[in-house]
Amino acid sequence: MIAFEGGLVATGDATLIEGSLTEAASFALIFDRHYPRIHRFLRGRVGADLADDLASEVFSVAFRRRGTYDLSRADSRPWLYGIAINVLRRHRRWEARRLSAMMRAADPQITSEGSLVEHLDPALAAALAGLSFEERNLILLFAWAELSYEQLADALALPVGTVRSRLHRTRAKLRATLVADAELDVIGRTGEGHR
Amino acid sequence: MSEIEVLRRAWESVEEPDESTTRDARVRLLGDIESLRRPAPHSRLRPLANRRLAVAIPLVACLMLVVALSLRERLTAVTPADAAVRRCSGRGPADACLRALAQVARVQAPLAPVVYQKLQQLRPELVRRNGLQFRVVGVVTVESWLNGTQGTALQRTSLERLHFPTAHDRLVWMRAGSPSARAIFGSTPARTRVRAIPNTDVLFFSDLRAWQRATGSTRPGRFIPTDPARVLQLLDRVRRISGAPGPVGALADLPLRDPLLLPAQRAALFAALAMTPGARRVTLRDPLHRVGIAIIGRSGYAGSQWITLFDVHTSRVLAEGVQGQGSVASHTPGTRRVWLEVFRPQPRITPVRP
Repeated sequence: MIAFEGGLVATGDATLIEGSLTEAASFALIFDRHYPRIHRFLRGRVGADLADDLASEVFSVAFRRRGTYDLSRADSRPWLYGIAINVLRRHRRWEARRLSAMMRAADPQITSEGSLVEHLDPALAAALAGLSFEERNLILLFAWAELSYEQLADALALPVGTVRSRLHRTRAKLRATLVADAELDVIGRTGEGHR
Repeated sequence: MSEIEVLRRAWESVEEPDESTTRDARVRLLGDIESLRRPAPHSRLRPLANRRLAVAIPLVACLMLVVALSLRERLTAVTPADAAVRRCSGRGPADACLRALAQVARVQAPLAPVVYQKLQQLRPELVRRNGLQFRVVGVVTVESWLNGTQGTALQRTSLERLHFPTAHDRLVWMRAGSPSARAIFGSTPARTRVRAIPNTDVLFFSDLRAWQRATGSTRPGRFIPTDPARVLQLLDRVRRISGAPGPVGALADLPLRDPLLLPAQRAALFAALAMTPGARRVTLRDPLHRVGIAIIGRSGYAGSQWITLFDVHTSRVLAEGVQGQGSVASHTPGTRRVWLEVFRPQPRITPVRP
């Protein structure tokens, strides 16, 4: 069934997941609903090629674990992102290598197929590379996936207070690196470069 | 610019997967699901022991269950609502639960001659405007005042709010010039006088005309028999008259939320439903966060199921809808019959002077 509340329409993931316990195919609706954002998040972390495989793995794992889903949670996004983080964990070295490669690249590169290589600004890549894997999870789920504090706590299995303080610390760290790196000048160029 | 804005700006250049990637991944997932459905490998117990245990364990368990249940039944005097709560908890076939609900319905006080009913419908829409495209859900509120003595109703429909599935949709909507609900759905608040109560907007009948012909009445609800077997006969007659291509789900066909039915008639509907095979029960939460027992049966639409959510304590309908043909969030053009009606917890009862 469909649920809606407040500003957010169409939660009801819990109902779909519960339904999928008896009618496995209804899990496909969870896929339809969330695959694009999970894929996009993974793509931002590890690039398009690896993201294809990892996003598929996330939903495969989610389907196998659907019996353990807490049905009082209407929105399954934190749960799915939590699984995505676990899947990413095995590839954190790859992510770090990718970030350090982007630190060195001065300009967006064009591949032989003509598509733009997923590219972060070198200064930002450097700043992200300076964070730990856990810190990156926290800040990127907040900034990219736009999870609330409570949802972050759910996804990362941390108390809300811890999320709050760690996020604060991570933001400060990121800000310091970005400012020290280029005195805000680089950031201004980043904006134009991506427009 | 804050560090979060720097991150979000970088995020804008990360694209969503294209259609073919998504399609491939979907096919892969469905393959996974199919392979996981196959039976689990055999346990490591030796075959002989395994077979003996397979007979012995369920036998002992069944015996214990029967003894426990019969003892409990004898020791505790229960009200129909208590019995229904027990019979309807968890998931499984629905017949015992439906029989218990029939008992609950039988002891319900009849409603007053005038009944107020409020329901909400969700209308998902994919809007294309000035080269922009966004998804929006219109929340339509339908209020009805049903007059049981006169057999008429007053109905008010209003498009209350716009909901956006994602923040992005809201943004595109604003870029498109924030068109109003009226501009999108082309409807205005309307007040209608319904001359006869069996109006499919007010009461659900799968095929109102067939019901009217089968009962020979403009308000078929009045002629629902109090004997479940005769309810089934009536249902058969309705099916023959409507000429439905195949068997339609009994659940979807019964006018269970007709508020003007007598308690004995509602009890007969539940009992009749218990006699039709295939319905399942499961505990669900509705969009207003009320927990109820959902009875799931065939809907008559291919690949979808009809769900009616009941309050176990009163046997009243809380919500109903069709499952399995998409949802509001995964709305795609061409998705049909995606709606859910929500009933307010207690119909406000207005006594009327004759």
